[in-house]
Amino acid sequence: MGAASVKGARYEDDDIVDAVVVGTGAGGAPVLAQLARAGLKVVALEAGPRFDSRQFTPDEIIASEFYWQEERLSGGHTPQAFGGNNSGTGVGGSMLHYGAFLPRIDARDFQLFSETGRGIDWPISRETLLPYMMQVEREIGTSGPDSYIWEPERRFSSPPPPRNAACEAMLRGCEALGIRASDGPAGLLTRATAEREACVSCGACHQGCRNGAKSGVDNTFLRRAEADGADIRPGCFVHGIETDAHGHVCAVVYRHDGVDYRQKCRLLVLAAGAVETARLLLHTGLANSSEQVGRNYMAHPSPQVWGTLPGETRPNKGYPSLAITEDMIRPADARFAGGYLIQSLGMMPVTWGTLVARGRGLWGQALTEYLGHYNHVVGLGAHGECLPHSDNRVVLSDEPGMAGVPKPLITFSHGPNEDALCAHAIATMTAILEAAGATDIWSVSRDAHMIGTCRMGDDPDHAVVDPFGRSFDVGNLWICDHSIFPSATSANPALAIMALGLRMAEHMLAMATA
Amino acid sequence: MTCRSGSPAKPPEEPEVSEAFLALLDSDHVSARTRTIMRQRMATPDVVAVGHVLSPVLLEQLRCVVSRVLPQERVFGTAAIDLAARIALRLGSGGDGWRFAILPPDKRAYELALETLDGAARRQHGNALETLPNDALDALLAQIVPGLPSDGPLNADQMRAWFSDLRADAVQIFMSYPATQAAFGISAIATGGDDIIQGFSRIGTDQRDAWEPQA
Repeated sequence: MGAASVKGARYEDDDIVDAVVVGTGAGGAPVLAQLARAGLKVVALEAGPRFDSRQFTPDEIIASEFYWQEERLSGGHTPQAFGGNNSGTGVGGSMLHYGAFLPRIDARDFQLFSETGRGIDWPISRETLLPYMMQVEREIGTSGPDSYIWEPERRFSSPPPPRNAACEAMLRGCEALGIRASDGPAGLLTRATAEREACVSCGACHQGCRNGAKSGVDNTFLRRAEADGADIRPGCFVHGIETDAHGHVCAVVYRHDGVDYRQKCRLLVLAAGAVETARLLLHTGLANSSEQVGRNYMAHPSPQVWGTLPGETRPNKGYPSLAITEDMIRPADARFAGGYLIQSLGMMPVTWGTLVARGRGLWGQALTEYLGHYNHVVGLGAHGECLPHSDNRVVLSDEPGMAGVPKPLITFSHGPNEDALCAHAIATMTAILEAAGATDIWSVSRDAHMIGTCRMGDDPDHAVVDPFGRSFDVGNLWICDHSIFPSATSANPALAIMALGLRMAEHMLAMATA
Repeated sequence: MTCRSGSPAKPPEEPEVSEAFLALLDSDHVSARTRTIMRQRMATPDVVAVGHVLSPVLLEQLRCVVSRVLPQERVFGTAAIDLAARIALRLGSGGDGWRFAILPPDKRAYELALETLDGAARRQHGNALETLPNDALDALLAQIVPGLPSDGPLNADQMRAWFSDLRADAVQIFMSYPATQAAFGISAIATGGDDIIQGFSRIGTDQRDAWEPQA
């Protein structure tokens, strides 16, 4: 059966396309768009479906349709919850549900080892990545203040959205404590354009933006890629990679509706995320002479602090995470390497209830009663540095998963640095909420995002890909997703992943024409 | 008072959804798809499908445990959402994308956890789990987080992880249920209709659009 029977396919199996991109999220989409614009024949294989964004639902149970629902096994001393925010599937990837928070990585986070003797330096600097971050911001559209405190020269394409109760509380609390805080950088249009509507403060960013105001890749890079001829195939789970006599990738094998297909290609870009990219490489045994594939798995320590206000907060309303402070990127009294960002938190009721159930540990009458306070709670959340550790890793379990690929087992344990950072962040956020007038304050330690497992670096013995994302072992295999981050940094990842994608594509095209 | 006094073979009536919330559900602030999802959720769970997942004894035990983990009397009076039956349906319909590596697959974990709790009930109180008085059942559940002494199939660490799953499952079903959102005055489903996606106009502390539900 030919690939033409796969919905959306423009090329046949036997066509040797220039590039296959596995995954259509923050990593795959910009690469696909740039290669298509350059006139290459490109195919994207996306494991999940193609959604009609108008049909997204704020109902959180059904909105899990764009989470990766195949079972992952989560171990270690601080096992991470998957299936929800820490996963994604569908054309547009995790950016379908991302919170649209777009901080740029702080310059110091690129050189943590040089600064502190701990962690690892990135092989590139902020200066190198900045032009690509700016290019992403221009293309997808952003909102933010006229003069952003920590980078006054940063520009946004539209003003910030209205402040919800959590944002107001954070700004109030920070002001009382002398912590600088402001409206944050968001991947959000607050003014309509010819193609996209403006944000209406519906609050359901994490359940999928229904009117296109949120800057995902489904409504930006992928739209452009398809206009330029890219062939995006939903429902295609890649489970095999074929190599030729020289060890170069010559085809990928994928399953669609229970049938296996083979797509020949000249280049392969893996952009399936830190869990699935590592899983595929471990399953195929490719690109792992360094034995680093799957290692140094990281997640952002993301503690949250919640409190109750006398007035109504209605946490489901408004852009969820508007307020930010970058003052804790290097706290003066820190006894840990790195730092963290704080953002205000709106949250939909089921997500919040789950956090209460797991994180606050309430049960019985106390649980029911507290759930009833939903319309009065406010939250703050941090994202902090995570040091790479070789024993935190993704491996294949002994349980069969999709298409015979074993389910991944993810082992993740906080080290002393993460514990110290969390304690500091919780103390800071508690003080902010107290200063904002909240009562019944509690905290929860949790982890967000999936980072590492195919680190980039200069040394083939200790890294999987080079500073452009090219495999040291397999010359025509590239990786662009969160897996190549050498360290977590304290920033939300989407902006940097997209920027790395633009940079990688530029390099690939330069090599092709050299 | 024991769990059985509520005649668990026939669960209580499910709570009514307030007229005001139903009116919101039918308004143009809610999309057709979301309206259908919420309407379907109000339907009574299919007892045959539930029976395919959990045996009658396990279902009764789960009902008893869930009634203590997430009691509903102060919200719905004598009515209650049948959380246990809906957990069973969820267990029978594939997972939620992950599990604790120390636990077996979700359905098996529930079976073994209930067996472990039943063993502890018999050892500590000489009675089956589903016949324990409420205070004895509460005392049993209170041992899970510190570490339940167990000679059953799950050890203390596994019981602690399962109890976290149980709380999360119960809360997710409870908070997503229309009657709960009505009772708590939650407007989360009303992000906008199909023709016009209105969102919310009044944003900020103590700001409420006139059409939003109230507790």
